This record gives sequence, structure tokens and C-alpha cells, in this order.
Amino acid sequence: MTVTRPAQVTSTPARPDRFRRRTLFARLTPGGRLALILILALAAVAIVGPLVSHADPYAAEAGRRLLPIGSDGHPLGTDAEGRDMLTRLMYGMRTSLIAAVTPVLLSLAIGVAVGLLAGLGGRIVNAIVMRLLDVTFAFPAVLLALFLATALGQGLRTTIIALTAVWIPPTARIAAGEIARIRELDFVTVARVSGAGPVSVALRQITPAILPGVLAWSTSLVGGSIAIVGGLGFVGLGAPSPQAELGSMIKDMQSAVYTDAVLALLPALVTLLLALLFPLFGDALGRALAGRRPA
Amino acid sequence: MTALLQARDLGVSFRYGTRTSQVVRDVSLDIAERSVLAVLGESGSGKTMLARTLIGLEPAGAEVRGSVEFAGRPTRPARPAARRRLLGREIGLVSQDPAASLDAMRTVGAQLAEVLRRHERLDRRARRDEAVRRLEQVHIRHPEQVVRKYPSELSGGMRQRVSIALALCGRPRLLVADEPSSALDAIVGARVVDLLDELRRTTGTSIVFVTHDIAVAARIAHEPQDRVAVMLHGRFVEQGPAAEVLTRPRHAYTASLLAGEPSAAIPRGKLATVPRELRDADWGPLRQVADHHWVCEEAA
Amino acid sequence: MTIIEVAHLTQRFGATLALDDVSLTVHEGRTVGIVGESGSGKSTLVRAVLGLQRPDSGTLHVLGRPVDMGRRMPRDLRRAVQLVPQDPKHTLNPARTVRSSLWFHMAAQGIPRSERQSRAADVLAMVALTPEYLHAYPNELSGGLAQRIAIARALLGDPKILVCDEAVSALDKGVQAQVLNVLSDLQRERRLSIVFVSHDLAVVEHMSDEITVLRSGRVVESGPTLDILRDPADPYTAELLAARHATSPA
Repeated sequence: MTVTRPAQVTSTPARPDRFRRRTLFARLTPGGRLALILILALAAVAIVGPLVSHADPYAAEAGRRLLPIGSDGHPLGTDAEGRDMLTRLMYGMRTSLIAAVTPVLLSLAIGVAVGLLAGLGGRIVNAIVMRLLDVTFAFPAVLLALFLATALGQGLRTTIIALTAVWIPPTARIAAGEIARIRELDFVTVARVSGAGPVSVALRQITPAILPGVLAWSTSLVGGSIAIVGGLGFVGLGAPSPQAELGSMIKDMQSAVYTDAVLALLPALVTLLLALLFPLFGDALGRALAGRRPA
Repeated sequence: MTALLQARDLGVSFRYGTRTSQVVRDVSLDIAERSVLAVLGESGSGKTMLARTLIGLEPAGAEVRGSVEFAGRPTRPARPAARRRLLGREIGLVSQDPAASLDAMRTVGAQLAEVLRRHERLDRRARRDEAVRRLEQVHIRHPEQVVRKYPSELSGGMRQRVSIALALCGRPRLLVADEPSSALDAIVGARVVDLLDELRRTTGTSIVFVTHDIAVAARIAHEPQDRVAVMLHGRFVEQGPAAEVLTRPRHAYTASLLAGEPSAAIPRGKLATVPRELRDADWGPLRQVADHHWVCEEAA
Repeated sequence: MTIIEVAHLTQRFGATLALDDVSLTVHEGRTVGIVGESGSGKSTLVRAVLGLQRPDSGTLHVLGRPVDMGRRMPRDLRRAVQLVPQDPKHTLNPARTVRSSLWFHMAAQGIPRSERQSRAADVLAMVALTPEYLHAYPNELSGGLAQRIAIARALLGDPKILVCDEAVSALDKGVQAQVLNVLSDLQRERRLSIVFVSHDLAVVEHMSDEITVLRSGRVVESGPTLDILRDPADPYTAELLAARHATSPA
């Protein structure tokens, strides 16, 4: 084989068709695509709704309590206090999504950092970090969240802090597991042979390689997060009344279950839908990213 | 001589949506008693799929055409019970990864005893003795100790010997060995191949031996009745007596594979590679060129 | 000129002696083959030669200069010794494009930004690939292509020696021949030295001027390839030779 020397090349040639790849969205399974569309639609409603709607989520009308779905001026009826259900749902979803997604994002960042520390920090650091994680695993997540919420007092901020604390250990465990699998692989060794320092290897070789797996896991975790936020709200440890939040809304509608079940269950159904959509999407995301992940 | 295993125009394909992928195409073969058919192919050639289909172990979703007969009976009987009987008693399977055929949670002796119970009328004690004897047959040293061990306590070569012993429990007439030495070190692997060679002489079983390694194929298929088939894109491009195919190949693809075997005798940088036109050609039906020797021709 | 000289390496892992007084010298433009089965100490020797691990005792000289093993080598020595690893599935970071991987290595080796584009095109040409492959993600490449890119990557810093650790063992024969030819041509054109490590004697004898046979951490035999093939002095070497042949000795 003769080696031909190309003329001085100053730019990468255009990407040929065989390396043109479909968008991430196109690589999702149909179910994953549907889940993503629904998530984005619900999130859009939750974010945009309160901005464009002039309805007040707190305006209670004593005379118009528990109006059925389809009532004039209240397309989804009203709650036990006579507040507009559609508006409350939009505000409630916004609160719940913020309270559920923020801890997952925080725990993703902290978990990956802890995982890197455990996976790359040497044997003693690894042993200490892993034992500490083991200890936190001894507490059931919901109990831990309840305990923290009680200790820190009621409020949205508390919910977020409590959930972050709950999600860090499992996320760190997943990250540490991926790192343990990856750190002896050939591409990492080669990076070290080239003389890349440990920090550079950790951030630019190992972190990108664990992200597909960890991202899929964290996305699914939002589902569990939604459920726990709802649970805390239900027992009165979430956002304080009268702020709209799905869990406290479920509780507020309890009394109406026997009179108008569909109306009463609306907040619960929305919570359930959100809690299911995220794992569905997370699973599809994991599959779509499988090729970017060390086998 | 009637064939023990006979396949005619065997094809295997998978359907992905509107696309169909043909993994095995128009394969016909005869395996005589006490003979070896070495199926030689690169990865993706369809050799493993062929071996599994021959014994009715094709994955779900595979569409199989053509016919396969074992001792005059079709090997893909509809009833699973009949298929199990055939598999255990008349056909044994040895795969590349012994971990796949061994149960990590049970001792070697327990696994042998269980399979023996299905095949032989023996009491517990006799089964234990028989298990030890079966391990001796595959040349495992200290078999009375090995029966008490778990697969994870054995070396790769030992595990492969145990899985061969398991495959032989029903005294099968045909053994299908799928890359049985590929995961092992050279010396250990060569010994496993030699063991299979010895077993077909002592037990009279025939062997379908799937491999990517020409030297391994030559090592197992060296008797006059042995055959080598060279597989490319799901097709046999050459099939014939082992000595003929491996020393005087009649197909250009076989020839280029043989010439690509590295050795000190070939100057560096001059290893033959398989020309792309050979790989991509549309190979048509086989034509007989000598006794028991067929070669594919390029489709017009 | 001596490119690499390893002397009296000994390394223990707990109770096992992974390397027992192993010495190895590689001259410019020559290939030294190291044959051994799993557990023979091949990988430990490779790590030591690359300076990735500090042995219990022994010394390493690269280009005549002593190297403190287990520490990062000075930049010029790092660029002189490069690795072509084993597994085509893991040789490239699956999360990054080929371009991003090559750029990372050039940054680590101190190749200035302005030279990276032409350097990448150069090394890809050396393994007969077009710069279009810079766009690829590893999962879009076959094993042979991934391994050729791994060779290209090793050439980025214009090394003096390549350590090929089972570099073709996972490839099909036809593809293997192609990759071996690429290596041989590069060696001839660039006076590269190669340490060629494999359990496959056929490949090692084809590639090597000298062969060192490792068993249980010890050098059982070492010398010119043809001498060893013609007249193995150690029974273990003889057994390795026999295993490669078509017929069993029995």
C-alpha cells in the first residue's frame, strides 16, 4: 500500500452521508417519542399557561365549589374551594415539575462528582465514599425525605433539598459503577499514555462516556421524584397552602371522590401521567444513546 | 454411505419491518457418520446461525426455508419434547463460551448427574461414579475432586472440557461445536480441539465444527472423510474434502483467506488481503468440480 | 540506536510474581515480538514499558534516557512511545467523534492547535483513510477501521516506537492481514520500532525480527525469530509452535 501525502489540509471536509446520523428524536422508539412529546406539551402548558392565562389560581368563589367538568368559564370545573381547576392544574404542574426536576439535576451533578471521586480517587477515598453511600442506602428514600422535610420545615425549598439528598446516593452509585467499568478500558489507558493528566482524563474522557447511562437513569428518576413530591404535598409537607401543587391538590379533592370522581381524581391522574412518562422517556433515551456508551 | 445429517437449500432470514436480511442462503450439506464438517467463515458470515439452525436452535423470528434431516428424520419437529430428546440424546452442543452452557450456581458433579439422569437409568451412587468417568473421558485430572467444584473454580480450558462432557452425556451421534477453542489460549485451545478429534474416534460421533481459524479447521478436519465448507455472506462458496479445500482451494475467496494466514515465510507487508470484489460479488449456485467438491460461481 | 531498554523488571501482585527479572531491548526499526498466554505477564510488561506502572524493581530507558516508571514521562518521551491497544470496541471513546478523540490526544501531547488539522489528515492518510472519518463515531466503524484509526492516533506525535498489545487479535483474518500490512509498511517507511505482543504465534512470527517467549512472568526463551522457529530451546516454546500447526503431535 502506498501512502499518499495530502496537500496541507486546513479544514475538516464536509461530513459524508454515511456519517450523517438521524437526530436523537428520530432514534427514539415510538413510545419514547410519544412520551417526550407529551412531557414537552405538559411542561409547555405548565410554563406558558400561567403566563398567558389571566385566571387567578387562588380566587376562591364559595358559591361555585366543585363545579363539574365542562362548566361555563371553568372547562375543568372547580375545586373544593371553588378555584378554577384548569388554572390550578397548570400552576400545580409547574410547582411539581420544578420540585421534581431540580433535585434530579442537582443530584446528577453532585452524584457524578461523587462518583468520579470514588472511582478515581484511589482505594482509600473509594472505600470511604462507598461505605458512606451504603449507610444512606439503609434509609428508605421516602422515609429520608419525610424526615428531612419535617426537620427543615414546610416549603418548596425543603422539598427540593430533601429530594436532592435522597437522589444523590443512588445517582452516585450508578455513576461510580459506570466509572469502575470504564476506567480500565483501552481508550482511557491510551489517554494516559499520551500524557493527559488525571483531571483531564476524568472530565474529558470518562465523564462523556458515563453520561449516556447516567442521563437515562436521571431522566427516569424524575418519575419517582414526581411521585415523592406528590406524596410530601399530600401529607402537608410540600409547598404551603394555598400554593397550587399536585400532591396537596389530590388531598384537597379527597372529599369530592364520592360526588364527582373524575373531577376529584384529575390532580392524581396528572401526577400519575407525569410519573409514568419520565421513566418511559428515560428508557427510550437509554436505548437511543446505547451506541455512545462503552459496551 | 447414508448421511447422518443432511440439509438441502437451507435458508435463514430475518425481517426487520419491510427489510429482509438473509443470514444463510441455499446451504446444502451431508455429514457422514464419524466425520467432521468444519465450517470456516469470518464473523458475520452466518456460520453460527447455520449451526444453530441445523439443530433447530435458531432464534425466535428466524424464517427458515429448505429441509434438514437427521438420520432420515426432520430435525425441526414441531413438538418441543421431541426436539429436546433429539438435542440431548442425538445431538450435543458445545459453544464458544462454556459459561453459557454451565450453571454457575451448581457443582460440576450436580450438573453432570442431572443430565445423566435424563439419559441413563442409574441410582445416585452410580450416577456419581458415571460423572467421574465422564470427566475422565475428557481428560480432566483428579475428576473425583472436580465434580465437587463450581465452574468459577475451574480454568477456561477445564470449563470447556466439562461442557464437552455435558454435551456427550446422552452419547450423541452428532456434536455441534461453535468456536470451542476461540476463547482459549493457543495450547489449551489446541488440546480441546485434539480432544474433540479423539472423541469422534472413540465414540464415533460426527462433528460440525464452526470456526474462523484456518489452522484450527485443518487440525480437526484431517481424515479422508472430513469436509470443509467456506462460508461468505451466508453462502457456502466452496465445500469439499478438507485436504483439497485447505491445500488446493478452487475458489478465489478461499485462496485469498489461505494466503492471508500470517507466518514468518511471508515477507512483511505482503499478506494477501481479500479483494473487495471477491467479498462483494454476487455468488451464484454451486458447481461440482470434483468428487464431493463444489465451488460457487459468480452469478451472471 | 536503542529505543527502549527494560532491565531486570520484577513485579509482584500479592503472592503472584507477575514479572520475574524480565529484560527487553528494542532497537530502531526493529520489531520485538512477545508471545505468552493469559497470565504470562504480557500486560504487566506492556504497562511497565509504557511507564504506567512502577515495578518492584528494574529500570526503563527510553531513547537512552532513564524513566521514572509510574510517573508521567517528559513530553518528548511520551510522544516517542505510543500504544495500539487490543479491543477495537474500546480503543476509541464511544461518546466522542474520531475528531474529538484525535484532538484530545494532540492537546495532551502538546501539538499546537494550528497544526492539528493537517496532522490528523496526515496520520489518517498513513493508514489509508480519508479525513472524512473524523466525523465518525466509534459505533459507526468496523473493528478493522477502528483499529486503523487507533494506529493513526498512535502516530499523531511522530513516535519512535509502537507498543501493539494484541492489536489484531480481535479481528477477522482478512481484516487482520490488512492491519498487519499497514503496520509493516509504516515501519519500513518511518523506521518505526514495534513491540508486538500477542498470544498468537503465527502473527508474532510474521511481524517480528526477534521473539521473546513469556511464561508465568519469566522469559523462557528469547532470540531471532527464525532461530526460535527452527530450533526452540525450551519445551514450552516447542509446545506453542506445535499448537499452531494443523496436525496434533499425537
